[in-house]
Amino acid sequence: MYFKICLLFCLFSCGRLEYSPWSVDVPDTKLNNKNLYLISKQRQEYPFKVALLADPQGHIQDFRKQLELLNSRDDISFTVVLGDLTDYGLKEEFEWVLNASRISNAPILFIPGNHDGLANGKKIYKQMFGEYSYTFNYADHKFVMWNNNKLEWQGEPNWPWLASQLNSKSILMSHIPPTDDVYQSEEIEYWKQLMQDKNIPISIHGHLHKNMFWSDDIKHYVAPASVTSKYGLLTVEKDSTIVETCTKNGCIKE
Amino acid sequence: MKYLIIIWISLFSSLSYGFEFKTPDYLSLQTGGYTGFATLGVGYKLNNIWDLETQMGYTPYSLGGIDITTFDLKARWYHSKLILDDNMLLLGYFSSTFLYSNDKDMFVVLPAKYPRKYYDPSAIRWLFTFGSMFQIHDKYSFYIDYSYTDVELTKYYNNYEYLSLQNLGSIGLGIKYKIR
Repeated sequence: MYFKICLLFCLFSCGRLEYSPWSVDVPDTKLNNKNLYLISKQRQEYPFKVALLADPQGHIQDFRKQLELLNSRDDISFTVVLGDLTDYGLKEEFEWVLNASRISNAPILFIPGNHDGLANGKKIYKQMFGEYSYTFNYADHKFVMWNNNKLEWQGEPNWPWLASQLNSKSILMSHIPPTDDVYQSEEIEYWKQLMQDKNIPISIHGHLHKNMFWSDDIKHYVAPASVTSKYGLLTVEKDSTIVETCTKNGCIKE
Repeated sequence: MKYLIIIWISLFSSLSYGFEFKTPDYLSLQTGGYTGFATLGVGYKLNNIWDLETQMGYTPYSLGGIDITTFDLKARWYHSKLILDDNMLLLGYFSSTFLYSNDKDMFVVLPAKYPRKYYDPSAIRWLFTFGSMFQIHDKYSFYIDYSYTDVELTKYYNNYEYLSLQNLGSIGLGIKYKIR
């Protein structure tokens, strides 16, 4: 009998000890900074390809399968995950994404989504991935990674920052596309006008969970969610961009 | 989440039917199990198989990355009893807990700035717990249990090839002191 009790204790003692689902005690990895360094060391020639993933949001298995699929290609310069890494902004959810992303052969960059700003998600995101908004150059193009989750982040979106970053070589990436009902129509109009005035090549987003492409004066692409098993592929040439939506069976041009 | 809350309130209401306020039957002190580094609680023994308990937990900055205060309501169901010797009982139990954090960044009622039904409450989590309690003295019992959050269970269901139950959940250790 006492042997069984000891066995029971041993069984329990194999488990983890966690104090709160809302804790933020994560390692200070700043993954984006590390991967931006790796990207800066690449040869950076045209054309180059960027894989576009969005909204893993608790579907880690599918996210990991997407990365495995991308690993079977050798033409991806880097991968971008366009927000909503989590559903509830909990530490554990961020850790699942971080651990799954370690299998990626290509450098992988993240931007925050609205769900990542829930609970203590903002603090965790900053420690794990780095700044919410950032820019970097690749060849002659400038990637503008913009935190535009206006309801979850106080003081966002930062329109003056965006206006100062865009130019005719800027590829804009943000979680929320210029269609969503969290934005007022005047804000969307201002945003579209800004992109047109700066004549940017393309704006790329997540949030809607299905792949969409439309073109007014600017090209817009929404990357599919992880659960769809699809991913977007952006090919950047010196003076043009092409977007495709891909599955394991191949890619279709948008 | 809202269905869990409805089920839990129904359970709590039915168990509390005819309940009059009286001195709690026991005090509890716990660590881990998602309720906090140090959790102090009071509970009522409703009958031989049900306890109702409310706890307040605290996790300091050094362990949680921020100071976290939580409050919870727990219903514990004893499903089995084993008499080990004259002074020792081993009780097996399951419990259902609603955990609330009063952090300013979280909410129970969706703030007006969000579109209707945009998010579930972020300040409430549900815990499912299974464990064993050793009653080694008339006054004292020790317990060891394992808790999973609602998020862990639902995400495990969606990602069973990737997530393992062994790498989810948390152990909890506690002591119960009978005061009545």
